[in-house]
Amino acid sequence: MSTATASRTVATGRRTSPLTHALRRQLGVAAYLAGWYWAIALVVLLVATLIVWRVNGAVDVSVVAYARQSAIWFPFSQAILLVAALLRPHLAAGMTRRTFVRASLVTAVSTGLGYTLVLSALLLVERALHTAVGWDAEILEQGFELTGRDFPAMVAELGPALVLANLCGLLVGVVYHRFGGWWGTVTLPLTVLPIVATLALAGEWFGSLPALDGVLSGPADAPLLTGAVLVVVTAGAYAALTRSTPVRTPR
Amino acid sequence: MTATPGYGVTLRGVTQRFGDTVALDGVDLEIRPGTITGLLGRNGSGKTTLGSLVAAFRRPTSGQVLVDGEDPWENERTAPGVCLVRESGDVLDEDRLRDNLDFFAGARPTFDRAFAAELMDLFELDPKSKPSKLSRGKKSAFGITIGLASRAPLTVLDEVHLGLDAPSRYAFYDALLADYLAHPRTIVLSSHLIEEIERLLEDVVVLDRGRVLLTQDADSLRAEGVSVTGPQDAVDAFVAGRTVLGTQRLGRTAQVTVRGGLTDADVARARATGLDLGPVPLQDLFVHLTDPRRRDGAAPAHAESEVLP
Repeated sequence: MSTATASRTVATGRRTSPLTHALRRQLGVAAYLAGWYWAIALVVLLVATLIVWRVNGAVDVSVVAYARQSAIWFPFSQAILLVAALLRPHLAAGMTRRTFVRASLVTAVSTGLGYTLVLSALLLVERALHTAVGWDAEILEQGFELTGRDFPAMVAELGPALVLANLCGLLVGVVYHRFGGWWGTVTLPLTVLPIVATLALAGEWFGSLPALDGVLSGPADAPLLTGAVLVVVTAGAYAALTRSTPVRTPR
Repeated sequence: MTATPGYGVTLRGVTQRFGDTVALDGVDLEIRPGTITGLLGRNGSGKTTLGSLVAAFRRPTSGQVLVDGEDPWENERTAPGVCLVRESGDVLDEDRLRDNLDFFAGARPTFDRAFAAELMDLFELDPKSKPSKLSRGKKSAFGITIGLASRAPLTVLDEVHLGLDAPSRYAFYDALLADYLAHPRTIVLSSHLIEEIERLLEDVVVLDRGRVLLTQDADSLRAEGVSVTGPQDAVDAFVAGRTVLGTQRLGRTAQVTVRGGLTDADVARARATGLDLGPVPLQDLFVHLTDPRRRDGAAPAHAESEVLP
């Protein structure tokens, strides 16, 4: 077979950078799902508020606060699926694990921050509306204390848990991908530990530690500081596992 | 970047273990750049593992894998130029085919969207359908579409024909050959349908139980197999001392397949004794070479068979 007269094939075509391409894909999926999530959440929150109002004649609790758990665990499951659905095609398309790790970490943190911003904004809007009609906005969920009164303080309090939920999802996803279903399930207490720890420590336990007297300037610092450490640890563990993972053949 | 079309592949002492299973055992191998190489082997011989190593889907337990002279693992330069299409398919299962093409085209600098569209038409693939909803054959056709349209300097097609009907398979072979001639690159083709693909192959690598049984250019390999047909006594005398791959007997007539080239003197001697010499299809050579009884030192399964009149 002669190829002497044929043109030379080389990988010199122009394209966007692999990181940009991967980010566009992953952020696009995250934005699509976030759009659906918040659209549904808004309807549910509105209907729930109306029902409580009709039944009790007043709504003295924060209905929006109940959305926090779903805003944590929905993106968590979404991050698991991100690894399960995108890692193989990403590598098969000629991109590296390094690119996947960077893109997925940016996506996870962006998603967590995005959900935090929307949730904080909704909480503030709800408070303003309740105040306008003479209602309270008490949070009844056990272990959930929201001391911040303004937007930055709320973001600082809510952010660590919501960002970590996404990172833990990535970690759970890559452990399942790399080690299979049995080990993925057995190690769940470990891989979900960062988010559980953040939720627990965000309460009164952390702030009451005598060793931190004088270190923290305000109540919001506790979850923020804890969260920052756990974000680094979780992201590091995820990156280390992903950078060396083989591609398993789907069954 | 290599000056030849396509990436070459080198494996040096590569071993890949999965627990107690040895998928590849000390493999030394060279795949020439700019060729279509047939990767042949029985089930479990290590073909898919070899493809996974070359595409950096996994790292070898030991040994060295080089693609275009470099370790392909997390290699930003070679990664976009290596395309492995596996039988299992590594696509966005829940995205439409056209969105899949967008995704792969965006990651491959050599991807040709127009050629992809041609192949989609050729295989009658609906761009609006999703891979998860496709039949086995259509999934294979979509894998072929991505593999060929990527025009990667190293393309590994691992059993991509599975589920394809005969017209689609021949359409694939024709498309592959035409595009290879227009855009030469390195293509590694793994298939059990050796009779169908042998016309495409320039080089052949035969794997057997994780080891390289032979690596050779296809033409010289074909020339090494000769069938000798004639009276039993004359055939036995002619093949004495040669490597006999298989024997068939019909009454007093025998047909023996031998490996090893014949000299002009051998040919003249065969003709003088009334023997017919003929070529041996690559598939027959493959079957003989990988026969487990031959491998284990016992009589090959097809070495001695008798066909009654």
